[in-house]
Amino acid sequence: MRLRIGMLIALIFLVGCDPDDYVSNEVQSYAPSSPTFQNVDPTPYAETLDPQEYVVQLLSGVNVGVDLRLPGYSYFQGVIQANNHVVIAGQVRVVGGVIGVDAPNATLNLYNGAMITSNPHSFLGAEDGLAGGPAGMYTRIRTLEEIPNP
Amino acid sequence: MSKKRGIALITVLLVSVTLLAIVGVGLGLGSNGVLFVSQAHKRNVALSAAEAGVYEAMVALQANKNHSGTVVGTLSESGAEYTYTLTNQLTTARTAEVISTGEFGGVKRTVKVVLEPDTLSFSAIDVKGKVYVFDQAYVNSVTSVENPVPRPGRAHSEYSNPSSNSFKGVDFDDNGDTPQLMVTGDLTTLGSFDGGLQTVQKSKRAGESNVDGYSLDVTEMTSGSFTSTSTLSSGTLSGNTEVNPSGVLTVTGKVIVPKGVKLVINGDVRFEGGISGDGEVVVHGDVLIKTDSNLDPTVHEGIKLHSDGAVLVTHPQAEVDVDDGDIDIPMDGVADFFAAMPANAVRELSLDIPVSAPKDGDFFTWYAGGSDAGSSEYQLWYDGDGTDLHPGLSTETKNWLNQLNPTLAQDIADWAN
Repeated sequence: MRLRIGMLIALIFLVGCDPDDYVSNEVQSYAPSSPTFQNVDPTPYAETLDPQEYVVQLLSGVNVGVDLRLPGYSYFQGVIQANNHVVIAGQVRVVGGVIGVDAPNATLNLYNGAMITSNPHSFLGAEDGLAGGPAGMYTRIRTLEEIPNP
Repeated sequence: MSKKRGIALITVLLVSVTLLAIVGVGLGLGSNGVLFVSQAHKRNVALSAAEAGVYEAMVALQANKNHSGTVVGTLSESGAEYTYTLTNQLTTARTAEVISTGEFGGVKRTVKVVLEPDTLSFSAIDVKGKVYVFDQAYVNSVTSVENPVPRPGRAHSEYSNPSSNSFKGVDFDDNGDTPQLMVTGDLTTLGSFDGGLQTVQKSKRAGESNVDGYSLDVTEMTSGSFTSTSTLSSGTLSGNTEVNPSGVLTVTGKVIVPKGVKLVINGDVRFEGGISGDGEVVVHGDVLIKTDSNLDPTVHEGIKLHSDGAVLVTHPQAEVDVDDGDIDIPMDGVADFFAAMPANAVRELSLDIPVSAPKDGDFFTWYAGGSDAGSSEYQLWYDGDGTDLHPGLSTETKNWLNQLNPTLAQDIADWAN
């Protein structure tokens, strides 16, 4: 099944109008021309999802964590910060976070299955590029072992 | 007569010596036991003190994320002491090491702990603008890409307008779907929630501000020396690059920005083959990203992307109709089903699963068919017996499974087998 989202692209270029005005199925013109989008070729290092393995692991309890991969989903790994609108269209998983959307009347739009998964490492990895944040930080124990006394 | 008395005396003496020996051995064993128990108690208390030091370090980090050094403390009830040394590399190596020694009654024990940042300090969504949910969206969290333990995911909007909700649901095609936002942690806003948006979350709070949000420092991200160019090809960037395109910059293949590399684009850009890596990207314009259908496990942090304009992130199989100005995105029912899967279903499904249940894609048609639902084995798996050993499925997992209909179950089986 495919879903046509008419105002998505127009939405990107709409700045400064009332947010509730977006909620319509009206198609608006998209000024710049663009070549047809191409599908991404799987890269050799990337991890593809094997459906059989996915279900067998799920039903065997082997994978006690969570598999970030989901059938049919695609991924953006990192933090998105925009001054204006952010649109996550369809079955896309953002592994990181979405921040900003600072401009007056800027909106975050999550369409039909959009998934945002926070990943602390995405923020901490910014190092000097990261500003603000709370004074403290919650932590959790990754490993614990007894060692000889110093 | 005197001979008999002598034998009696010797007998009494032998018995007395034997008894004394038995008593002596008993006392000795008892004493050792007491010592053993006492020593074990001291060791346990010392270990508890060492662990208390670790938790004290975690509490100190909650107040000050830059906390480090050596701290000595005493536990009020036992009087045991701990000394912990915290080496804080949370903002660089994304870990902190705590070596904590507990001491009680002259006994010492030491533990070494590696701490990692918890998602409670990092929101999945933390925006100032209004949030629209078209049909359904999901917010969750993991500890990291390499160790993806599910944690509560937070969503927050600082938007506040008396005449407009901060979170608004939209039935996209007007087909009667109730828009739904599923959040595994807290859902908060300074403003208010649209009553038409169905939400599932741990806690939902309106009128709450979050002024401590993180932001990307654009000044830092654009500092340093750059190589200037007017175009950008797919591939891996080897150094800081500044692109000054004439018109909209379109990159057809995948762009990888490695850790430590900065990319600045002075204009609008379309990454049609996706963008990946751990580097920093600043776009002085609008951005379109067609995402990758594969998750890259070598990317631990991801791209730090700032746009002065707007950002559109979409599926690689999306098709853009330039003339009409709209976009077609693929919608997959199987994907939607697994996207809604509760995190604890991973643990629950396999526990006490009936022997008759297929352990592959046919499991879903088996469940939807309900042919074994009356068996005692099925009931134990589904409802449990009220004990911790056989807890059964949680309400969330049951609700998730009950979305299965014969068509969807067959679609999943076809996909998985």
